[in-house]
Amino acid sequence: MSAETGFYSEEEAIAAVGRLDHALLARFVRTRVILPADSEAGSVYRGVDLARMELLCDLCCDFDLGDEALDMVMRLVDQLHGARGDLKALMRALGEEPEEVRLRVLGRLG
Amino acid sequence: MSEDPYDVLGLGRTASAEEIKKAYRKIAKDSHPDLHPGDAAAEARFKAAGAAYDLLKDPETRKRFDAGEIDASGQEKPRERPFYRDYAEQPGNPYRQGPRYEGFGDDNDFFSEFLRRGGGRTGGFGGQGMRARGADAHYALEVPFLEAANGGSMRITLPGGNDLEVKIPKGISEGQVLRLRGKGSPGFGGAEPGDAYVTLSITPHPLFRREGDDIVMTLPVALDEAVLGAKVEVQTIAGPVKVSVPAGATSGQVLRLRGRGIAAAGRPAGDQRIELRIAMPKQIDEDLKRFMEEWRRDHAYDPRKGGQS
Repeated sequence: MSAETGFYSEEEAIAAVGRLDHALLARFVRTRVILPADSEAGSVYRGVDLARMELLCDLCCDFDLGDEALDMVMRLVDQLHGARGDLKALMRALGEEPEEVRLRVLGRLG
Repeated sequence: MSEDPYDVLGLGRTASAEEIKKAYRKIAKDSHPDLHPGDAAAEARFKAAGAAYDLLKDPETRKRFDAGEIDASGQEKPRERPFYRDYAEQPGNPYRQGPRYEGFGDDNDFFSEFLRRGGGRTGGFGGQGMRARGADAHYALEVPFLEAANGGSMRITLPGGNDLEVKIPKGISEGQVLRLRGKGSPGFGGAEPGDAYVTLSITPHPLFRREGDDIVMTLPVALDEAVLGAKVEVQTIAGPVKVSVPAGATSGQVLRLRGRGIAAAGRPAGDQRIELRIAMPKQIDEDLKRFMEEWRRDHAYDPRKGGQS
């Protein structure tokens, strides 16, 4: 993480992510699989962006995915993780209900 | 990782470069933690395969490994990398697709969110002409330490010159994301606007550190204050207070101001912990020296006794 701000400049992101270079980052931003955040200091990247860049590098360097495929895979990945997050939230909410409610819901799930 | 890289990839020693790549791809595809978030063992398999592939994909290091010049573990330590899955499921993940049900402090929205389909980055085509939800906007905001602790209000200047008010709740944490519903780009054809995601980062404070909801600081005390005790003024996140330093205080001793830490909504308030540090006078003058020499004759003590050396 950048010591100064907690966000990463383009140069800091490229230094932190193994196989990332300017051309690759420009490609990720152009195809909107990475969405930089606006700040007072211009465009910056967050922790989530760097983790995503690692995955994107895996997908395009190891699996040779093109722009279209990359975008499609990332949408599916985001749907998968989103659905898992929602499921966990639902299970947590259900866990806080009284036992009879939980049992009734479990019963409905078959 | 001390396992043989050929074994990890399930290959013989004579495998071609193409076979090595293929074997790695197969394992990576089946075990990438971001693509298999429910598989707890995926990360270990993925990392082992990555280390093996790193070693064997370069003909030079592969030759050296085959010749016994380097072993599988003699390699550079594999780089620590973040995984997307550690961020991806969080409600604040700005890349998350579709509606989000929790984590923004508005629990009553649960069911309305459930019905609010069609989120994400693109809109849909409605029955009559095109309707597209506005794009989400992404902002990064530096929050001064005290605003992050006490809550407050900040403004983001938008590229167009307008500004956006951001209410900072008490006790936000580093990297927390606020979603401002409807504050993204306007929708098209009567569709709803996008949301604004504001990722927060807390600026360090010269005096205070945070440990959870506790505020931690170091307080220098003079030698005489430590010996005799004193009432000294101490800064808290809510302003200065008077604190009693007990007589005989020692460096490392911690005073606790209960409830003076961060009081975030829905959590018990933290404490302020003050670690004392005895600061010697800048110069040891003759008086102090003489006094100490005399005092030592009859009162010498060994603070290292009991294995503290």
